[in-house]
Amino acid sequence: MLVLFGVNHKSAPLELREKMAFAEPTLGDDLRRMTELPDVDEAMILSTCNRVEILVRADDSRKGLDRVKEFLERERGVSADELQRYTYHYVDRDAARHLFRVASGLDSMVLGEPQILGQVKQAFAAARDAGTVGSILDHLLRNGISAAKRVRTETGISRHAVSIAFAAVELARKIFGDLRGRSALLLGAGKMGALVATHLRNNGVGALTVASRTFNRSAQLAERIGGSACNWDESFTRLTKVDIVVSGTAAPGYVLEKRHVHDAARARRGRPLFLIDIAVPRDVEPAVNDLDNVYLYDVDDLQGVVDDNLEERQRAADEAMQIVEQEVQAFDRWLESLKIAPTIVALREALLSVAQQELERHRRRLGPLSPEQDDQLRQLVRGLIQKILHRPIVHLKGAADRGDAPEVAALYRKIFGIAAGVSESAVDEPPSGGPTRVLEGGKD
Amino acid sequence: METVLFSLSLVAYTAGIVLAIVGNVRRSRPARSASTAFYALACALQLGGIVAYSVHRHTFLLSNRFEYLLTLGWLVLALHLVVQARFRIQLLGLVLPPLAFVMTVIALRMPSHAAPQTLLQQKDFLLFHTALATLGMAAFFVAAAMSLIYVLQDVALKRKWTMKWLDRLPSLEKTDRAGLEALLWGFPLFTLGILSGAGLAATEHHRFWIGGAKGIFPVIAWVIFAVVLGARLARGFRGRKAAYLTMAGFLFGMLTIVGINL
Repeated sequence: MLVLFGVNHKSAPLELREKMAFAEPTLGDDLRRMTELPDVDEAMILSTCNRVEILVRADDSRKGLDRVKEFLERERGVSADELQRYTYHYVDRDAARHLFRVASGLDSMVLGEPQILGQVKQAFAAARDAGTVGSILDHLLRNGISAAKRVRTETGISRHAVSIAFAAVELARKIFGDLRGRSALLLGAGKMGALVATHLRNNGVGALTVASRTFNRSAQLAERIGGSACNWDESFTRLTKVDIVVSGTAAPGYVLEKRHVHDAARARRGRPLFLIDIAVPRDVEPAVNDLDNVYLYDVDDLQGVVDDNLEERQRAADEAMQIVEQEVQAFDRWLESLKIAPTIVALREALLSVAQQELERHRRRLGPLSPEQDDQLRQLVRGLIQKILHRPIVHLKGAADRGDAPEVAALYRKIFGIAAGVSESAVDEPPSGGPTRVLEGGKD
Repeated sequence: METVLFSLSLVAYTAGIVLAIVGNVRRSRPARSASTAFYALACALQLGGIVAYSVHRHTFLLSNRFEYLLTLGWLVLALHLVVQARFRIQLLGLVLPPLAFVMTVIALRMPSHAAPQTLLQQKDFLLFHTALATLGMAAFFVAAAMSLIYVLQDVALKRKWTMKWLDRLPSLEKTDRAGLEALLWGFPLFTLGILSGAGLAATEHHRFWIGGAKGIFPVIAWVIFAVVLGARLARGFRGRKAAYLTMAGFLFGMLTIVGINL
């Protein structure tokens, strides 16, 4: 049974998430201690700033859940009341679905954000290194990662910017294409302006100049974001040279009027100029947008882009849920196939055993056989068994797909007189090469 | 033979266009690559058809609308492949090849009757004139397509349109560069085409100016392109106005077809 237990940004306050968080250096030890608990066979921990989730495989989901709660109470000092009020848990199919949603960014604070997939991969690697991942969790996590990749490529959920700073970068790319080697001017030394400038810088913008009414503030900010500072008065002459202007001053009126930009645009000889006005009240006269080759976006325009992109992500999320559902079904089928694999193996062994006995009984009547003839005879018997078993195996595989594998497997065991209980033991210890190989091959 | 090759090229065109639509709508890289492969195949088949036609008729003078449109269509497709390789503007696969396809279809529906009698010694000169003018027009075709894309992107940015299909448009900078390059290739070729046309008129009609659509429209187109290119190179003239003028020049250039073989 799979059990997923955890807290996230929606269910629990930051204080509790901090208390429950697992630090990377000791994660391996924590995982090993968890699998040493009775009833817990496999474990993986995903611990990020927005969520702490513990995924375990246990024979009994109730007991597994209790062990995890006891572990958190003992090791993290979380009270029973907190565990009751702020946590959630999922079992089996629901646990798989939740994990796939998390890996795809569908449960993230920013819908569709791609970083979570990297964090899931890291958590998987840590659990593998600690030796706490067995065949079931390994398969589940691989399916989860593959689901997340499908969601990203097939829906494009994380394609569009959902922050004002990223929207500005996206728009700059529509004008200039590659931003490498472009130059920018930041008017004002406020936080938002600095954030937009930093994003531009991280996306290739080369020379970055900061200008504010107080030179010292400009110099400090310039040093922090890797640019240079200039005097406020000098900044206007730079309009003829730079490609992008980010304006975020606290001035009560327009800092850049149409006439300023008009003169600069003439001197620029048609080179495009992108103005990002993130100030409220606005710094740039709106009529500036009427000038040829000048593109002005204010906060509302940028917010409009972000809102549209968020809507787009929501649409993609609906599509993504279908992909997640397909992957959950695929995992479920695999899990079901584990239940029939031992029956198939036992069925084949039972028939082979009967065939072997009959072969030995009749061989004496055939007289002495050469090694080649003996080999031919054995192959004939094995071939017959394969052919006889073909339809039952197909039927059993179909049962795994339909979800009634345990009932069908029990029926076959009854018909062929196979001892009960083989199925359960084989789930604990899948045959070498994995049950999928047995199912797909259907041959020794 | 040429009929089979032209028909096969139309099939390849169609497959390329369908795949270009799928590739751009679904952002599928394999579909876009397959589309380019089909366009390359269409280009090769159409060239094969043109060569077979020339061998069969023992001549190819670009002197009637059938030959002119067929060659222009092929050149536009060939230039599309060149531009694609150089600038990687995926959306262009939805603009230039369909236009080349339409030109080829129109050409194939036209009677391919023989060109008017031309003196034997003038044949080479006529081919020289028409080949240059056609090459120039093919380059202007690319420039006009780039201008159209530029205008779309410019309007979208100015009016803050946020439709998602606009994300597939190339950046203004890239479109502008590709358009300018096409103009720089097309203008000298078109100029030589006009000059050789005037020389041809002088030998046939004993005057440089023959008037009519064949004479007026190319000159208007040339003047527009000369102004655009001069202003672009000397004064950095660019943007939406330059794009509109380029498209206007191209339209006048295309009107020349009206005068062919009349």
